[in-house]
Amino acid sequence: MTRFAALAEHVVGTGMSIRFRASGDSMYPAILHGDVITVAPVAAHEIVRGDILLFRDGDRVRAHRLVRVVAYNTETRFRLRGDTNARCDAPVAASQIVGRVEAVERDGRAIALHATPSNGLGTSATIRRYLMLCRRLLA
Amino acid sequence: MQASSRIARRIDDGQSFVTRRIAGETLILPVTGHVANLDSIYVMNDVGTRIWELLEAPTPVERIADTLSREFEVSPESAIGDVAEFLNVLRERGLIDYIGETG
Repeated sequence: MTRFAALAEHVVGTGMSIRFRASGDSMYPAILHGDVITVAPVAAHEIVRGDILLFRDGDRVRAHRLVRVVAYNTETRFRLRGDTNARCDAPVAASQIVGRVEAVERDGRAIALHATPSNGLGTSATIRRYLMLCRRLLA
Repeated sequence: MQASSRIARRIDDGQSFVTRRIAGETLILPVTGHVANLDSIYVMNDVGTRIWELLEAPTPVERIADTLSREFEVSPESAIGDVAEFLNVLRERGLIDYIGETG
């Protein structure tokens, strides 16, 4: 596990929140590369669809949006996806969830963070990828 | 060498920072308002980690330097200078303070 992931898990496990600079564009436009995000502990029963969850993925951590909760044998699994990703990540167990993104800051300003249903009512993954492409071309 | 006789201690109120040992390194995270800032991690190597361990209780700077001189096979003069410099950095970061001097 990376130093960052181990530290994130440990600190949130003690009941504190963590604040750090995000990297990557998988959550565009909710979270941009370089935004500062705050992740707080969350109990499994408090998690709702649309939440952005920080979870352990191998030896690193990712922050992706909860698409749905599914029963997997006798356990619950969370299906998450980056907003710009076409496919969900591998099913995530409750034990892999580090915390929930509670705040996003961009250029020192707080960005509204709303749970976005991923049932087709929001922007489709295809459109989001197109927007990402436009953004990169304009950058 | 005035700093050599000072007694250093961690400022450990249980809320200002979190420490964690990972892969032989000691990591210190500043905490503000119950939020730990992972963009401001202090990473200590084995020497820094040893100093941090010695500071579990208030300890004279000279004693820390003596210990490091023996354990890391450096001259006492070199050790006292390096320790004083390191402790000053920790103090600037608000991680330790000095509470007096040995007689």
